[in-house]
Amino acid sequence: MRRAVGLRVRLILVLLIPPILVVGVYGFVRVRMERAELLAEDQRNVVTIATAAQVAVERALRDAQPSELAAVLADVVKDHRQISRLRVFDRELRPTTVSNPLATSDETSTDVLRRVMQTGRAEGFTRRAGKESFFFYVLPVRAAKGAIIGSIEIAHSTAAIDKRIQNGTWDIVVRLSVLVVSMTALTGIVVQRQLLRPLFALTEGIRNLGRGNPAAPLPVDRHDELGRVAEAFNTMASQLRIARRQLVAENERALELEQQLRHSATLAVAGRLASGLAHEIGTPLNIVSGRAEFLLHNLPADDPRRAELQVIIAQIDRISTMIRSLLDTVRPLKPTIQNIGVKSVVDDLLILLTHTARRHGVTLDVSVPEDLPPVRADRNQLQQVLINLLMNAFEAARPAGAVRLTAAVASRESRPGVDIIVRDTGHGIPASLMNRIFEPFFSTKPPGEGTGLGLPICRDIVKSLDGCIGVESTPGRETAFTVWLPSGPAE
Amino acid sequence: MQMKRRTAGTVLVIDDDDEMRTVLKDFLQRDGHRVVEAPSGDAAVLLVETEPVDVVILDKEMPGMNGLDVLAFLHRRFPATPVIFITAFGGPRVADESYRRGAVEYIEKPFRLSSVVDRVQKLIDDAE
Repeated sequence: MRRAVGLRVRLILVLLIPPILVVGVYGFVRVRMERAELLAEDQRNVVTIATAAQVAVERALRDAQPSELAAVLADVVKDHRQISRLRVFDRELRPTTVSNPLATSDETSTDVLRRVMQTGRAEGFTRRAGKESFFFYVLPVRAAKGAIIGSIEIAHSTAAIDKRIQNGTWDIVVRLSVLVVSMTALTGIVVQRQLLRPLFALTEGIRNLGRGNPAAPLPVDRHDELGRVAEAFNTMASQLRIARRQLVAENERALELEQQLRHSATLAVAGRLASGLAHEIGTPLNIVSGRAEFLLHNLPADDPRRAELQVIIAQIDRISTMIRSLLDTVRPLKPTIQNIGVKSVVDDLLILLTHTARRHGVTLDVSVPEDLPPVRADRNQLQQVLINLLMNAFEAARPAGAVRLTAAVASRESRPGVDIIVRDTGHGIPASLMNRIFEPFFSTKPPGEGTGLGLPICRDIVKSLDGCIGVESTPGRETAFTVWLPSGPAE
Repeated sequence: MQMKRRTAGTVLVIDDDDEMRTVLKDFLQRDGHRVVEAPSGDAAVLLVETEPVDVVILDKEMPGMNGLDVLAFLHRRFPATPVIFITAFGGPRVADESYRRGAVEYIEKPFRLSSVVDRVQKLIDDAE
């Protein structure tokens, strides 16, 4: 908000200062020029009147009695309202006749009077008297023979002109203020509507996007730069939406895969436990039911104990049925052995693996060539083997290690096949544990975390596929599991 | 007595569980068969060289030589001698494997002894 106001103020200042300066300076100069013109015109008038008064005064001094002088001056003053006062001075610079006393000052500029008397040339000057400004014009008064016998001073107030100039100045100030106010308002409105409002919308959109809300697209109803910004923003937002959706979908898929795998791993473990147990109790159950059966055969047909033996046999049957149905649920489906590209199996797992690697903080490097010969395997089982090995590798390499999955053509006992190698930069396996890691229920993880069946299951699967599994480890450095599987004949 | 057309034969029982062998032996002897016992695959392999048998009952899980290996051996060595292959809850994969290696019958423990004995009798009768 503060930044937006700042932008508005800055724009207004930038837009208004130059025209205000120009108009202000122009107004000032205009006022000065007008004043100078008015004064000049005024002074010309004064000179004209003064010359007329000079003629009248000279004639009155020559022809008439000096006592009529006052009446002559009064006539001149009466005819020309601009004239504030007329004074006639004698040779000794004493005022002899005064048309009317001036409200402000009767001071005499003796220097000017003396100079005019000596040179015989008229002279004008301006002097402030109190609040008012006056223009004085002094002319020589000559006798009939031309000798200068005195002088005449005419005073003219410039108050009228000052007033006009003042009014003019006020006028300009008022106009300028109106201009400034209206331009400020106009600029403000334009900036607000054309710039700030779209910017606010953009800001709000960005904020929403940042919060992860699916922001409504900005209206693109203008064809200027802001319209293009809105368009670019909308494009970006929709791209982000798509990317986000893809990410979510990918995550969901990875989680789903992980759950499926965990489920199948659980089933594999449960199956192994169940079949192990079933296997152990199968024989004792058989002995019990067999003994009961034997007794039953040896008892006469009407012996009441037959019924009890039949109960024993029936209960053994019941237990067998229960165990069989349990085994049916947990026993893995019959594997479908076929030609399988290792690359395609790895590619199917890639989302899950990168996801899991990232969660462990481990870097995963997969390099499986495209042109490997296919191996003979069941897809699900091969997946399970790879996942078990890679999960172990991630666990071992955490928190910041690296796991590498590679595959290469390799022959074993002159049979063609493929080596799949899972290598981790983990803590390695101590030599003393090396020959125990494929034992069922052997685990170095804390109780409850590892089943100790991951590697045994891997080994069983690989063996069932006529392949082999091996491990090499440098304690403290790295571990590499190698799964070799025979490659199938071309189908 | 009641055994009219019944032919007695020699049955080899291979199982590492003594009780299991005994209960099978009791049943078979009751029907007049001669029973030879072997507690392991290795013992069985040696035994068959000196002891002619008509039918073999072979358990899968044994220490030492595995039941499936014994089965393969017997099938190669005495292809005419029928082998009944038994195992505890083996499942379809074991059944499949045992038939491929030459078993005539696959039976899961726990089974009804009477039905196994009947089966043995039928095999001996058929061989006649």
